[in-house]
Amino acid sequence: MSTTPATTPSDDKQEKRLDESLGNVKIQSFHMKCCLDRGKLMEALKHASNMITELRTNQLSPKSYYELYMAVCDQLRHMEMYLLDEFNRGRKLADLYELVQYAGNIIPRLYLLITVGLVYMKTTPGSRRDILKDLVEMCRGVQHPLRGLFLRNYLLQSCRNILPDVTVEEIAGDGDGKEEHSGTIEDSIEFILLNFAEMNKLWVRMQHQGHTRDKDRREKERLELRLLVGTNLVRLSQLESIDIERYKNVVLPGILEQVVSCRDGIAQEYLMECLIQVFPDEFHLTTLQPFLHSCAKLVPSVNVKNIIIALIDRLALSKDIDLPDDLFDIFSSQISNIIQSRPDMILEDIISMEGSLINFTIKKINAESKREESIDSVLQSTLNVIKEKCNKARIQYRTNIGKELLKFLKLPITHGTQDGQTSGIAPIKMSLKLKVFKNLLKDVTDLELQKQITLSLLNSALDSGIEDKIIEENRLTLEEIEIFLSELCEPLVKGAAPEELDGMLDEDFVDEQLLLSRFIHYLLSPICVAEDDLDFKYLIISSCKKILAPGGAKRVRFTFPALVFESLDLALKYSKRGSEEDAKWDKKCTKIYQFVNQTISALNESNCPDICLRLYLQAALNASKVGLKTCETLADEFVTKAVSIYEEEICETKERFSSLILIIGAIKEIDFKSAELKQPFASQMPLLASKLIQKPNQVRAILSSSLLFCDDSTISPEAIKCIKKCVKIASSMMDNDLKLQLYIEILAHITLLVSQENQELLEQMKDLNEKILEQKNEVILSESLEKQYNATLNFLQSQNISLDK
Amino acid sequence: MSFLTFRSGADIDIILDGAENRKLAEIKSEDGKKDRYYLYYDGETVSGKVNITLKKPGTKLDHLGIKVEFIGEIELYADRGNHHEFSSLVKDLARPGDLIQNTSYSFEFVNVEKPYESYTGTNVRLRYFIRVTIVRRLSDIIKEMDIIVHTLASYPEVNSPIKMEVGIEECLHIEFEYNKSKYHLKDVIVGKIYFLLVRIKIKHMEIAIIKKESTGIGQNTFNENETIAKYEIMDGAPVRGESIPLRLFLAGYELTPTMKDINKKFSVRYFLNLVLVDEEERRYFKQQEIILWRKGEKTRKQIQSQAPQSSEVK
Amino acid sequence: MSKTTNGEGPTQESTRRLTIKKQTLDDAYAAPANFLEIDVVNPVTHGVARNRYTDYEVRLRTNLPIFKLKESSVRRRYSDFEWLRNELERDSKIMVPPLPGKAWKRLMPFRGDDGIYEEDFIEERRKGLESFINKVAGHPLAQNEKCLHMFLQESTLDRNYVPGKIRNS
Repeated sequence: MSTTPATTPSDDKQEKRLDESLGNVKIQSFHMKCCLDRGKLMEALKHASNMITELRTNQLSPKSYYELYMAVCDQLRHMEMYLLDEFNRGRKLADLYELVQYAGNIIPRLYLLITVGLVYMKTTPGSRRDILKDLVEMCRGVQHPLRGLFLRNYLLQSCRNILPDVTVEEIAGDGDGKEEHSGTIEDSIEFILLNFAEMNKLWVRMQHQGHTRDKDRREKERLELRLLVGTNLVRLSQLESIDIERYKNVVLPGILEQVVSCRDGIAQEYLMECLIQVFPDEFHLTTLQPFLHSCAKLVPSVNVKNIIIALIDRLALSKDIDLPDDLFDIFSSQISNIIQSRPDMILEDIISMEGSLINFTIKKINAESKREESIDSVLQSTLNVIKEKCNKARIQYRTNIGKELLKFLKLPITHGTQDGQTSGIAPIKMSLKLKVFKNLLKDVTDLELQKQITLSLLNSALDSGIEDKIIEENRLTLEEIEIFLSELCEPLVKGAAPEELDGMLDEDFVDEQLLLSRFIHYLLSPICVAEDDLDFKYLIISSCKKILAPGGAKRVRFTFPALVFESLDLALKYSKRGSEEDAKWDKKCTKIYQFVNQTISALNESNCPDICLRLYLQAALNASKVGLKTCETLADEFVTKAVSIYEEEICETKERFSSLILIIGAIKEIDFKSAELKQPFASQMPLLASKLIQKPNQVRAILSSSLLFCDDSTISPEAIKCIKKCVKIASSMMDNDLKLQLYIEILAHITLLVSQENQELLEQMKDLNEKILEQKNEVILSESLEKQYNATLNFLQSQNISLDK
Repeated sequence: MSFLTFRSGADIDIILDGAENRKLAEIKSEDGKKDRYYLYYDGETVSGKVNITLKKPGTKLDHLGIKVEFIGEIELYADRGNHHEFSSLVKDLARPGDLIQNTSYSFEFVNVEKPYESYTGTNVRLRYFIRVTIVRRLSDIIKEMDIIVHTLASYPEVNSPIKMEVGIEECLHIEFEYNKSKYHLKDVIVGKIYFLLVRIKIKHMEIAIIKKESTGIGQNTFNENETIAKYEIMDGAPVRGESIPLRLFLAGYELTPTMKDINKKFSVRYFLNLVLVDEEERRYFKQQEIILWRKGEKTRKQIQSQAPQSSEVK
Repeated sequence: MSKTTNGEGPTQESTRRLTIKKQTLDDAYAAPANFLEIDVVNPVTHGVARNRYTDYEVRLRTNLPIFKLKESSVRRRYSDFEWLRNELERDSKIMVPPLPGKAWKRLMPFRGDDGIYEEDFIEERRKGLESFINKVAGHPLAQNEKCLHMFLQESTLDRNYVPGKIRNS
């Protein structure tokens, strides 16, 4: 069965009907104006009445009816102007008000009565009170919702400039009673409130007009008409004599009574928001209790949270008025009241409502402790509601509630600080200061949601970087760091790590762990700890390790290196202090190296020998630079560990080669003074090098190790032995291209040593060059090799070394 | 009128005393047009002059007497030609003889009783007129002049409002109230209609003033209903508890005082008919009689109060 | 209270009203008590040849207390509507509105089309029946007749029922 509404034909019909009506309005208004020009008032009224008769139609949609209404109103203004002119010229039209009441149909009659009544009220202020009352009462005759709404809107619009806006006290002085009849603010309020009540009634009743199947369309149309009703409230808000007292005692109760009683969602939601928008903040402040109390009584279909949020946001943005101290408490208790009275309210809405309360707290409570206390209390009540509603189920990140809760939880941490600081360490500090924050995070959310908060805290810290302004109060205590890492970062530091897939870890997991490792550096940056508070830094580092270690091999692989680097950096700083500044500096350094050693060993469980090897070498280099008595032993120990990792755990060809080069480099760099320590490494390196699988790598590694046998003054025979071995290996190569390349590389390497005259070395070079030349006849050199070779030759030439035999 | 006077040898003019200050009133003529005549009240003296102008000056006009009559009569259209005179006064102006020149006669009907209101209805007419007759052998020369009589009433001593609850069981209950039961012709009907139960789909509500004219008696009674005013007072459907105001000015409609059993010939009564119309154009109504009366206007009040005084003096 | 106009305002008469009872808020916002909606929908043609006929779903929704069921749905054919109309004509004093035409022409043999079973015709008839039954059922007097209630709310029409009124109490 097709349910497509036949929109086009009916739209066409609408347009045709509207055009017809507009045409009649045009004709009748033309006649009306002609008659007015000739002073034939009675005739003119007759045409006016005919024109208004078009508004009796029930064939038009609200939208078309509105268009027609506007056209008629335009024309009625002419009538009004004419009558005003006549009055002002002194013409007495005392019976005009009576005369127009002869119109047989009620719609034209009342439009004319309003038009004429307005003229009286403008020219004879003493008639205002009676006429206002009369008009608003007589309009009861139109019970048809659409026609009644527009009629009463005409009444309201017509009277907008003549509504009495003085108080009894203001006019009491004269005492002749005349002014009383020109009306007081009381009359205006009564007038608008009655008109409002009647319009709201018609508006609500409109839903029952017509067939049930059109209900949706009708509700849409009804929504389009909301301004007609809302204008009453706007009018009230424009009356200056309505002070807080009148608003509180007369106006608001009058409005709320209708809003609550109408039990219609569309009307209630719109009117409550309208109230918030049109009246000033001071009024709202004085009437929070009744307003919020009414909110609790609205029908379930009303989205009360929108109303509450609108109100709270409005007050949160208010300027120039003093908010009472207990405002937060009022909001807080009324929100609880609303939640209690509306058991069907969905959790998302509750959360977003509480969120607006936090927003208010942030913007409007200046005293820090009070603000945090208030936020905490919002968090607590939110936590309670969630617990009650979820019945132990955790809120899933990937649900609407989850998203709302995430937004909610981010509020206090991203905006909760006083000087507008919403990044850096401040959010973390705030998350720790708020007592309930972590409960909310841990008790009712799933891990994923919790993780989102953790990530956002970490990101906000890291994004602002270490250039951030240093605020010492914001620095975390050790205890806070521990709580933060162990509890708030729990989703990152604990739990089962994801399985590797084809030897690859989940990308997100890796990103998270890298973030954590960056955060460790952040924790030790000046933002978080004074540059010279080395002892504290050490405490931080070791705390981190304690907390991170249980996270397992897959996690520490990303986080421990950071600890190692920070430790080594710390050791350097201690050593720079020296014993004058810190008597125990050497002991502390030693302790750090022990810590480093343990950390790398632990890391080695993570199946990352390459990292461990590098870290050991780093530690060795570091230790060698610290002026400890034991520094060479320490370095030796670290290098030994690196070598043993090399021997036992590094298998991959490329990795073995680069690791070996690193080891050789480190040994060279450390430059052991004690030959006892140095010699074993030096002799071990060429051996290890020659065990490499690929010959070119053997050659290159042996070449590197040759440097271990040289220093500024000597070239030991072992070095020359190494070079010879390299030439030999190269010669054994089958591939001529590669062979030639290696020759050139060896020759280039030797140039490093030519600062000392060494005949044997010179011979070597000459032989090598001969081989190169020989080989060059057979192989065409690549451009880069050619360059390297030429550079070598040029260099030798500059040293006055000739390779000619 | 013209052809009568043409053949005869004289024109008759009736000039009423104080005509320049006397008010005129309108009344419908038989053919539906409006005629304007001088207005008199009960007990007022009707006096004036009769001027007879000879068509051919110098020629004499013989007659069997000249008289002037004051007549009040009821004419039932169904009974053509049969005029019931309820009032007939005669004054002789001249004995039989000859008129040799234009002559003028004064006449006076002192404090004439005019018990009924002039009326032109659908089936009946009540009229007052002055008739001057020059009686002649072959055909009389006659001149008639209508006057209008309005009967004034004083404020009714009892004038309770009309209040009533009516309805269709289980479907529609309303309560209506009209502020009075007796209204003068320039009065305003103020009322309200209160809805107690609305289970039908009302489209609108109107109030009508219905004039019921009944003529004749017994078997030969003719009833004629005429809707004098139709006045919409509500658009759309109300719900329970709604009160709809009613304010209807009477001055603009052609109304007469309620006339009951005038000279046993006819009655004119008025009813307010409250009609509710539903979406299927079904009409639900309730009729309620109201009494209409004519109130003396301010300027006339003096005359009204003078008249009884002077008659008392007599 | 005496009124002091300065002579130019409308006369006192022209703004006179009776004081009115204040409507209670409950009444003001109550749903109208006159809800009655009858749809004639879903025509289905049954049977073959001489036994062929079309019936319609007559679906009612109301809040009028006189109806036993606030929602009901029955299936009725044209002849049932005719029956109802005859019952009402006989027993009640109301002017019963006419039914849509009988379409004698369509019942003639040798037609090129489906006669009274043509879709367009059924739709037209459906509209006519809907308008008819809404007119009838909204009538306060018709609402007193047993036949109307049986027609609208009982699944089968008992043509041997005892006619009578249902709202005499």
